Amino acid sequence: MRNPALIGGLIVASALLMLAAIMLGSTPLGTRHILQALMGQGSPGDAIVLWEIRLPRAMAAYAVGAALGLSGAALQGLLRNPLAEPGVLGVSASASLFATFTLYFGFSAISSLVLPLAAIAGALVATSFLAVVALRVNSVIALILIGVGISSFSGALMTLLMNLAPNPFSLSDMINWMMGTVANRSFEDILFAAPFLILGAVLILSSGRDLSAFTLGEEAASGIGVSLTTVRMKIVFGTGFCTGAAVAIAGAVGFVGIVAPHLVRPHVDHEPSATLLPSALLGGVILVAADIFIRVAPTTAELKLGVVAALLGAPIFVWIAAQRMQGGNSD
Amino acid sequence: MTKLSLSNIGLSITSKVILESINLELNSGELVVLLGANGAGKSSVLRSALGLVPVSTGESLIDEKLVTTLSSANRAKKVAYLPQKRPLAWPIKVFDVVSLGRYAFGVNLGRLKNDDLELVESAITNCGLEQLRNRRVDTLSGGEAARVHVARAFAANAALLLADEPTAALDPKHQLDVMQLIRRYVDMGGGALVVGHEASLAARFADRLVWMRDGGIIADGTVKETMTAAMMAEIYGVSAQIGEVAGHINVSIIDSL
Repeated sequence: MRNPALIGGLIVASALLMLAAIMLGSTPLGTRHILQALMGQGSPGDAIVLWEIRLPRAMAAYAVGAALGLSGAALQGLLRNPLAEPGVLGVSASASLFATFTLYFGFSAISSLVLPLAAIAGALVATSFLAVVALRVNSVIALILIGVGISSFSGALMTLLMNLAPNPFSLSDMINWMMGTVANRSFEDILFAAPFLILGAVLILSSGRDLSAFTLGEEAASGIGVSLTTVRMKIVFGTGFCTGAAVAIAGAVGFVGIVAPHLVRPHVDHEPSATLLPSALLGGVILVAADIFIRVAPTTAELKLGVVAALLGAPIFVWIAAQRMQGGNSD
Repeated sequence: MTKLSLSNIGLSITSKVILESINLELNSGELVVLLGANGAGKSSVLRSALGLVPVSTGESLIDEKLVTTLSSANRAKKVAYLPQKRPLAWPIKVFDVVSLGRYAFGVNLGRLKNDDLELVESAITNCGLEQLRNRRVDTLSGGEAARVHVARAFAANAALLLADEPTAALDPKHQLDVMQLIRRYVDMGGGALVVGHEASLAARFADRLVWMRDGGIIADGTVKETMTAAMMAEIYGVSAQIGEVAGHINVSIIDSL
C-alpha cells in the first residue's frame, strides 16, 4: 500500500463524519441517545430519527460519494486525463435521463428495481459510447467535448420531459433527480443499488495495475502486456455500474469524481492504482460533509446535494483545466 | 535463443498500402537497425511484428508461434517494445515507470516481489538512473526520460527488444548513450530491432541494416554490404559520402538529390 496513513486517516474521517451526520440535525441527538437507539433501546422517536431518517441518508450520501469518487479516478486513469469524470462526460446526465424517463411514464411504480436498472442502463449507454469514441479520436479534449455534448443532450431531453410533465408531482420528482439529493432515502433504496455498486467497484478495483500501465500511453501499455480491450470493458462497465447506482440513489451529483482524485493524487505519488481506493473514501467523506452542511445550514428551503457539490466542484474543475493549459499540457 | 520472424507481411489501412511482402528475421545476439525515409513503414513493421495491428497478409512468428495466438502478457515476456510516442500521463516516479516493465509478470506498483525488484534495480543501474530513481518523471530532461524508457523496456528481461526511434530528439551524447545501452543488451545475449534515422549511428552499432522504401524492404545485409552512397540516394534521396573516421564508418550527407 502506497500511503497507509492516508487510507487510515480517511477511514477514521469517514467514521467520525458518519457519527456527526447522525448526531446533527434539527433535533441534535447526543451520543447516549444514539447508542441507545442503535441498541434498540431508548425512545421510539430517537429510533425513528436514527434508523429511518439520518442513518440511511448518511449512508446514501457516503455510497454515492464513494461510487463517484471511484468512477472519477477510474475514468481518469483510462482516459489519462484528470478532467474526466462521470458528470463532465455526460454519464450521470444520461443515467438521470433514463431514470426520469421511468418516472415520467410511471414505469418506476412497476417494481423498485426499474429505476436503478434504468439509471444503470443510462450510464452504460454513455460509457459505452465514450469508449467507442475514445478508440477513434486521439484527443482527450475532443472526448470531453463529446461528453459535454452527451450531457447537454440528456439535459435537453430531460427538460423536454419536464416540459411535457403531466402533473406537478412528476415534475417535482424529476427536478429532484436533476438536482441530486439524498433526502428521504431509505435502506431499501440503498439495498437495490448496492449489488451494482459492489460489482462496479470490484471491476474497477481489480483493474488498478492496468490503469497504472495506461500511464505509458495505450501503445506502450499494450507493449508491456496489457489487453486494452479487457481493460476498457472493465472500466466502462465498472464506472457504468457505479455511476448508475449512484444516480439511482441520489440523482445527478457532479464533480465529486474530479475533486476527490485530484486531492488524493499528490499523496500517492500520482500513481493511478493507488488513487482508486482513497478517492472512493474521500468521495464519501466529501458528500457526507456536504450533506451535513445542507441539513444544518439555516436556509428556508433545503439545498440540494447536487447543487452544493456543483457549487464547490465546478470552480475546482476550471482551476485544474487552467493549470493544465498553463503547464502546456493541452491534450 | 529467441527468434522473431516475419514472412510476407502485408498491411493496408483503408485501401492504402502501408506494407508489402515484408520478410525479416531477428535473432538473439544481433542488433538490426531499420532505416528508411519518413513514412516508409518502419513503425508499421514493428507493430505488425507484435500483432498490434491486424495485418492483411503474412504472419509474424515469435519462437515459431503465431504472435496473434499469444496473449498480450506472454508476448510481452518474450519481446519488449519501445514505441515512438512515449507520453507519460501522470508525473509518477522513475522507479514506478521502470517497474511497469514487469507488468506482464504480474507486478503491482508499490508491492514488488524480490525477483521483480532485482530486475528493476539492475535496469536502473544499467541505464545510470540511480540518482533519479525517486524523481517525478515530469522533472526529467529529454535525455533522462529516454533512458527511463529504455530501462523500462530492459526491466522486462525479454529476449528481444523492438525500439522505435529510441534516439529521436536527443542530443549526440544521449543518442550515443542510448545506442550503447542497446548494444550492451545485445552483447549480453539479447536481440534488438531498432528503428533509426542517423545513418552514422546505425553503421556504428548495427550488425545488420534493413533498408525500407514505400512499404517494402529494399535491402537487408551487413553494414559493409549495404551502407553505400547509392543506397543513401535510393532510400533518402540524398547524395552522401561514406568514409571512415576514428575507426567508425561515417556518413556525410552532401546534398539532396
